[in-house]
Amino acid sequence: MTKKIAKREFGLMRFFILVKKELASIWADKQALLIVFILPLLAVVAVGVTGAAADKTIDMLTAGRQADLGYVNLDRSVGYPNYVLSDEFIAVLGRQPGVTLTKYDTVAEANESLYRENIIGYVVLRDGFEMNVSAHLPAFVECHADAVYILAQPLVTSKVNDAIKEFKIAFNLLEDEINYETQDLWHIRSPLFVAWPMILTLTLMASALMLATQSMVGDNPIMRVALTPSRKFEIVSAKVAAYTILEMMQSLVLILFPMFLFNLNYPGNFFAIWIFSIFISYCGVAMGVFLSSLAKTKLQGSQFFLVGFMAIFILGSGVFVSGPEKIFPMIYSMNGSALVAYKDLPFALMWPYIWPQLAFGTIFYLAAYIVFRLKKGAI
Amino acid sequence: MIVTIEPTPSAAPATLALPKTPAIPGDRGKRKIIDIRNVTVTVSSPTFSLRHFIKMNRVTIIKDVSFFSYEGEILGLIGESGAGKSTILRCITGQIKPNTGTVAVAGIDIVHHKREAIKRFGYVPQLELLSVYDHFTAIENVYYFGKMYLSGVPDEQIKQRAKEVLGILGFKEALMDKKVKNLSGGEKKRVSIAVGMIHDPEVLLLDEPTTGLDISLRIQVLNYLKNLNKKLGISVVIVSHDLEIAQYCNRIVLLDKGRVIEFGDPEEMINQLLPCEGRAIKLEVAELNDEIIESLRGVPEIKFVIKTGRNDVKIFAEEIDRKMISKVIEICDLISVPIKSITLDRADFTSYYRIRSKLEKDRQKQEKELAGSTTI
Repeated sequence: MTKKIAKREFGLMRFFILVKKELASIWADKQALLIVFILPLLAVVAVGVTGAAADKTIDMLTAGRQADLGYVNLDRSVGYPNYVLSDEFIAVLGRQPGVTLTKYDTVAEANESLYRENIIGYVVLRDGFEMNVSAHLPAFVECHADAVYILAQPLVTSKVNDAIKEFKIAFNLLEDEINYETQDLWHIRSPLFVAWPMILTLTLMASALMLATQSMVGDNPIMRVALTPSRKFEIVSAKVAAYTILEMMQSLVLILFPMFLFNLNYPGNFFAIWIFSIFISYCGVAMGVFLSSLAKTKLQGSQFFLVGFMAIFILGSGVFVSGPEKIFPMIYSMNGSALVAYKDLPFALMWPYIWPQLAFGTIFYLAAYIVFRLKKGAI
Repeated sequence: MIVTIEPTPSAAPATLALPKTPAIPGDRGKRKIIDIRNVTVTVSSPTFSLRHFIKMNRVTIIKDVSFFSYEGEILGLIGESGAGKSTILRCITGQIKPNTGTVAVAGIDIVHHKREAIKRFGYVPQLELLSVYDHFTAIENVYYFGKMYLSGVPDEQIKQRAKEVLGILGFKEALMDKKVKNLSGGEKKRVSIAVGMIHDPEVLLLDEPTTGLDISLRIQVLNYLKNLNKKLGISVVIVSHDLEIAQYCNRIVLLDKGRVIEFGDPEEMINQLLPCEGRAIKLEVAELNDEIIESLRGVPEIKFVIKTGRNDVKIFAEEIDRKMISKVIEICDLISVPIKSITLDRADFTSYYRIRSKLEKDRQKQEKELAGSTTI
């Protein structure tokens, strides 16, 4: 007779076995692997090649937007009777629709504020502004915009341009006395610069959702596994963990390929970017596992994927409707990944972008467990 | 110590030739491995109507069910579709909580100590599709499920155990490394059984293990189960509507409409119902017709005549002897029916079940008639 095997138990080890089993299942599913590695490549190449076209659409999105601007007035020159022209220009700029102005004494202060996203750009009036304008000589308004925030540059320039027009009419300036020049800060010369945060977020969320919506409903022997000492919480946790690990592999593709193919050389720490992308994946996976636990057939799982993705995209992007995006993780994922990659954001400043994703994912993770626990599966 | 057990040859005999159930291994006592007492399961199902809008109807699936099985025995739960077999099995596995009564597996109350009881049984669900991973090999399936139970045991030990169990179930090394999706129905079923066996459970619970298999595979699977029971001393509970399983069982629970209608040793059940301890005459004629059957039924000593094939019948009489055989031959001569063969035989469980059902129907008919006449 077979010798009895000593029966010992480790919940954590069982969890690791479940994760290993999940990964082995995914590995056996070649179509899933295709989604994981081909989808991001397609997205990166397609957008990278047509990147310039994407920039043009930004202008359309700037109309009517709020612009929090800063200004640094360094002008001490005189020349125009009864008026201090630099103050007058600042006042005109402040009256532009949607503009709120914050005063800074130095360029460094304004820059720090821009880094922390208190403002989306600032203008600098150098010493000699009034003197040049009075003498009908060119005077420049320096515009500094946060290139990481894709709408910042067009917003700042459009507001400054409108202010210059109004100012010139008010003071009868008929020649090209005032011009502006823009400096995009933290900008990387790559066709993927603008679109990359969106590609990363959308690809990770879409593929995580697509794969994870089949994770429970597609796992036929799951109820038999539930009849072993494995706890239902371990089963759901293993699903979330395994699919998140898979998405981590995908995010590597999404981070590395733009670097090599389109010179998107992020100043940010590579590991920080990678770790941040885990939270994006976690959101998609947790939501997918939840939807999968609700589904009764694989077809339903596929349908739920579409519903989930459309909800995230339509409500979460803030493009189509304004307001609900605050509770969806997409905006946090997009802005956060841009800041981590382009501005090398330290962890303390990363946290406001991490916790909404963490909370969103965890709500769905727990909901998936509750649904699975209540499920009366018959085998 | 590991003993290599020769697997049963895949070319199994075409007929069931195993009327005797295996003996209970001597080293195991008379401990009850399954003990079900007064179990009732009712479910609520909503019905919608304009008058009541939603009305909850309580439906009793099984009522006051009690039976048991000793360690080392094979217990069969037999009944037609809707008899409540699977519900009882789900009560045993803890998937359903009974409304009343107690369910104990290896002496552990499944309702209150489910996690402890789960380790004591191996469960083999009805459909392989829902119970094993198609894209894993046979050995991988058994290994992964083994790790769920024995997470602290080294991989090599579990793989060794998986190979042993698959070996007992007739798997050669090459077959063990084949993906389940490429295996035949019978092989998949055996993988599923091996999964249920990997943690060395005290009792193996099988839901319809022979459903969807052809006759030779059915017998093959049942022989492998018998082999497991004999060689490893494991107790087995088989839920089936297939009467063939009765010949492998030490105990049978006959279910009908959620109630236990018979419980006991199949041999005893046959002996109690059929005359002459189930002995019979098997008659094969050139062309069987109703006239022959009616003529045989007309003989007072003959209690039951059942058709067992296209041209053969089984005859149960108060005495099965030369005199009775002569009488049968005489009747055939009288109505000019040539006899092809006439042999002594024994009742199997199928014969028992058919006769029992017929008697039950007659009894119900009589009761109905009696009730009708009383009303008049």
